[in-house]
Amino acid sequence: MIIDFHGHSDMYEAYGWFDPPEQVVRLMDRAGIDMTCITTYGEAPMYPVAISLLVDYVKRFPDRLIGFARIHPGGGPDAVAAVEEAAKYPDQIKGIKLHPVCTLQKPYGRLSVEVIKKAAEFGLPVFSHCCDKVGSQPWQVGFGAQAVPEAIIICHMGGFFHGEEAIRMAKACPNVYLDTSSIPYPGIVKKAIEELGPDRVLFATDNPAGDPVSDLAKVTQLGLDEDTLEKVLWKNAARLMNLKEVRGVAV
Amino acid sequence: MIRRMIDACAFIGESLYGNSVTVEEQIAKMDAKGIEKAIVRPHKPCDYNYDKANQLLGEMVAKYAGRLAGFGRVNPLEKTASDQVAKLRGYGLCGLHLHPWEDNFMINDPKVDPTIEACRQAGLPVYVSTGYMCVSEAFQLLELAMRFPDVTFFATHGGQLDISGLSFDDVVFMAKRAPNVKYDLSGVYRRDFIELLIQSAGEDNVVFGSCEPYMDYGLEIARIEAAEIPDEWKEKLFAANIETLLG
Repeated sequence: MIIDFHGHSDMYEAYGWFDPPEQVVRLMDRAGIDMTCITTYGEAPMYPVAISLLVDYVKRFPDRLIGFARIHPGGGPDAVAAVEEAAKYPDQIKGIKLHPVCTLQKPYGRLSVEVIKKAAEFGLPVFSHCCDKVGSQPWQVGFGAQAVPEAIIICHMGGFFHGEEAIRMAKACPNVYLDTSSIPYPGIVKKAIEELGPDRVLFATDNPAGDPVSDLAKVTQLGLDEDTLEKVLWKNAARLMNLKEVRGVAV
Repeated sequence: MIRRMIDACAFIGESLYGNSVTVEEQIAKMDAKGIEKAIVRPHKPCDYNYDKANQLLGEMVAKYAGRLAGFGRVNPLEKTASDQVAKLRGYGLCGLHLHPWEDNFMINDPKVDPTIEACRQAGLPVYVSTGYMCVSEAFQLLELAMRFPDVTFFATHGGQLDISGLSFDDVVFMAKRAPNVKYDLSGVYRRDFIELLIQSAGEDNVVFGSCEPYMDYGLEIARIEAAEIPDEWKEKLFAANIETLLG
């Protein structure tokens, strides 16, 4: 069983990025991945179709895709309302996505915190981009997580330069989980598992931007024991999203 | 299928940053992955003395002729940088590697020009650690490359280090504007960008360069192997292109 915690699907003219869900599923099949959490590139409420498109994409592949609604906290009350809207689709949407580089809304900022709080009210985990750029650096995510300790925050492992910092941040923020995508250093992934424990690292690929085949190999070739590998590859994701089944199999 | 692989970019020797690699360790890593040859350059040495490191690298390359080729390093801010470049051929080295991040200079700073001019006169290609914020982002390298259109530059990391994907268009622009810039794929985890870069720069102008030990041989190779591109392009990426580009 393999669940990819981070992928994308959208036909997003503004960036010129066109990744239909069929492309995501094709790449999942190439790597043997069962389910993938996807998000659009545009954010609700500024991108009005963000939630409806996401629901449509997941409905096309209900046993393969899981939706994370991408929210622009700059929308203020409308952003919070967008979280409420997303929560109306529990079968398709099981989390919220923030991308501070795109929205210029830092995760610890007031508007982002309001969105995170609302997501936590609904029990929706929040995925935040986390990288080298201002807005998404590890502690900018970490202080947002500390502001809402009841929230579940998942983020990348810090990009090219902030891997060690992301691990230190996650150690200090017990509600933060790290994903394995978007980082070219297997050693950092292994260190994250060793330092945070096997329950707080989730397999992800950033499909279709990242390559599921080599990103899966990055994790399976770390020499992890079977129990740890299962947790990273799917059990942690299933727990955080409270999944009852994966592709018809009870979990 | 056994594929020929030549690594266009690996760092060896004593390192100020604690990731030293002996020449024997480098050869062992290559053997483990089936890499025929690597173009190595010195790490930033603990004594900051690049000229000494270049000379030592030349000796290593001579010892492992056939398995290694070498690029020297200089800090262009040093007054003797051009003189150090002029010595590289004599040390048996065939190019220059500049690392603006480790040596604290902007790649498009006019202070770098005498070093590049020395390379131009010596017919040496210039490999640049590219994508580092403030010092070697794509358009900074582009400015330099446009000033020296008859110098061949290689950009590490596909010319960008941005997991958001928001720097790709800068590199695509550079690829079309500056045909004297070539690219390695070290650390380019983005499947879509590998394909976009090849489309933009041409399949003859992208090479396999690992940036070991900063990056990981296994993952660097696996990513190119997994790319959905024709197999003959992979042959070019892994070996033929760097052989052609370095003559």
